[in-house]
Amino acid sequence: MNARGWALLAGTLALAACGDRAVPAADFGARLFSDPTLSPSPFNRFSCATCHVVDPAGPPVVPGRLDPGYNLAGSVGRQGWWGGYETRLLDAMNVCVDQFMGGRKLLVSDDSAREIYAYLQAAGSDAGIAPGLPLTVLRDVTDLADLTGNAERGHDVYVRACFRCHGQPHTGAGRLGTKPSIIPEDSIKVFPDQARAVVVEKIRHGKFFSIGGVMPLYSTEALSDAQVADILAYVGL
Amino acid sequence: MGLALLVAACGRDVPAYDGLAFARDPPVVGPLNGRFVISNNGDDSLSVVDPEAAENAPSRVQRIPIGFSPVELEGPHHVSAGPWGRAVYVNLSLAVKGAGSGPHGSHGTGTLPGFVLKLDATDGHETGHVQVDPNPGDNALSPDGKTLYVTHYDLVAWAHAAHGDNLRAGDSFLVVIDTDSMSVRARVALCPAAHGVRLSADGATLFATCGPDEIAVVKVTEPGLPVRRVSLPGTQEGVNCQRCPYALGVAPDGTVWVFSLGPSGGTAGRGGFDVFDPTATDGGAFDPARAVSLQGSPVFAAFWGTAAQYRAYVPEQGNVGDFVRVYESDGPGKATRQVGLLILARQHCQNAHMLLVDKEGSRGNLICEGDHRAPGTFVVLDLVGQMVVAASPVGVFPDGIAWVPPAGVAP
Repeated sequence: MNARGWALLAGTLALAACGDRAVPAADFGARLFSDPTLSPSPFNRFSCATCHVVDPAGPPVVPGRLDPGYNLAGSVGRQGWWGGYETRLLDAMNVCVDQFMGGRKLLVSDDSAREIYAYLQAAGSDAGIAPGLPLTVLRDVTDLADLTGNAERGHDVYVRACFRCHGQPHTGAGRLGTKPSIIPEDSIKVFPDQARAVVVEKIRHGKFFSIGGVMPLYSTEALSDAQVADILAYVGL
Repeated sequence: MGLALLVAACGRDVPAYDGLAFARDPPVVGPLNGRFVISNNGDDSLSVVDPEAAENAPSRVQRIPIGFSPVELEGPHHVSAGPWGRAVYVNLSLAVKGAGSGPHGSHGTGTLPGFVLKLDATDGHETGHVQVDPNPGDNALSPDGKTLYVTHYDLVAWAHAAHGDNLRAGDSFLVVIDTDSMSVRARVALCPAAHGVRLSADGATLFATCGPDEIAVVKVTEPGLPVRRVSLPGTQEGVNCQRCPYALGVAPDGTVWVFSLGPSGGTAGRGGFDVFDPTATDGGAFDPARAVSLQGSPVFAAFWGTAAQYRAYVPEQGNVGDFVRVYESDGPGKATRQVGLLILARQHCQNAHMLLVDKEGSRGNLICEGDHRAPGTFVVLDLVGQMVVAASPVGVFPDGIAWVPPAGVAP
């Protein structure tokens, strides 16, 4: 047993003496990962799991879901996050906590930060460092008028990418709270002449570029233009 | 009491940690002392270059991402380093060209307020920031490092004013920042589209280029920071620029060399420079005899020597290529002489932008913008042999460079 193992055992024994149960921090982290109360904001409905999976056997983009964020298995040990823009994992986590979840940025000493780290660490390998993954932001958006989408494929893309937050198109049934817009009716209401471009812009820019809200963005690695066009066809834009 | 708390805490699930959290993050870059920092306008980063290593190992350029958002292009624009090697200051221009578009339409127009970031020189992490006006351009530190002066290259405001009858409505502001508290100490109307800014050696007078063919001279130690605008020879303030001054430098003899891009912002070159003597009668005047016309557009130059004898190294960019021209001056009323020319090959430098010269006057350290899409370059020049020693790729669209002195040692 190495020094860390002895320390873990000693802590376990000490706590057992008074009846506390020592549970691997990774177990706490796994629960927190799916828990919106990671952010104290009463408006928040997001958890880490809204936009990420942790699948040690899966590729960076898990086909069963079309998340805006990467599979976080193996994220500990990467040499950068958010396309290399963040060079500390806690800073990368805090982008989500701050920008999308309306929470207070986590400190390195916070139990919640350490527990989520433990979960991610347990889900990754100890193989050492790995390069960061790309995040290509499509800065200039168009209404993709040159692409004709396929509504049938669009249904599949919508279910995997959009449904978790926006619920059913046209009604919003099953959406995550009342904040996510009803697609496409809410966009048509506000931008009757540009609803198609607005939906594309929202997918590509999320809350950024002065748009507002709390939606993350879809990079070109997370969703292709063809998939966006399929969504547009499915929702009738 | 400790025992009581321990007992009270009994009976719960408590996390047992296995090792230190966040221990596998990549190593931090730094310290920055003794290195050049370069602001990369096109990819929101600073490049950190060890000048000695750069001559032998061009790939050893390190990168520090900066700004608030990992998604948006925030445009770090020019950089200054404190004289005591503790801090680095970077303008964040926000809403820069190419920042994005869409039906919401507010981005890319340069109407958002900018910021100045204060970075710790040990590892480049942000220790403070302050909001300034839209489109912060250049910045300059007082000799004691306690005050940062920021100009604003606000072409939007100038264009709006040009449609009215009051050009003063288009004046950009000089923002004076207390670097300890990172708060705005004063805000002074300068002139439209001020950009290049430098201080006299004693820190008492500030000089800034202004879009409409003039410079602003500010007595920064006097109450109210009085501003005097002085037109370039043969021009007058207007809604357009004929010469388009953009950069300036203060020579060892105290004269101010004002570098102009040329008509329409230098799109076809035909720039040049003029020399302003602050000691001339009536608060200073340009010396027409020392003006030089060029085929391309001169930018941020460097000087080396003494007040009695010095050289000016002037980077020039343009359609016919990039150069560093070397000049000597024989003083008031006498023509400026070109005494050297360093021709820069395209693979080393495209769009030369800003030059620093080392203390010995033997090495020049030049940044070149590149094509604004691929990485620009950091170029080491042998100023004696007038040749390129090495060129290293840096970030996208580098536009500012500063040398960070050793910690605790004034330069």
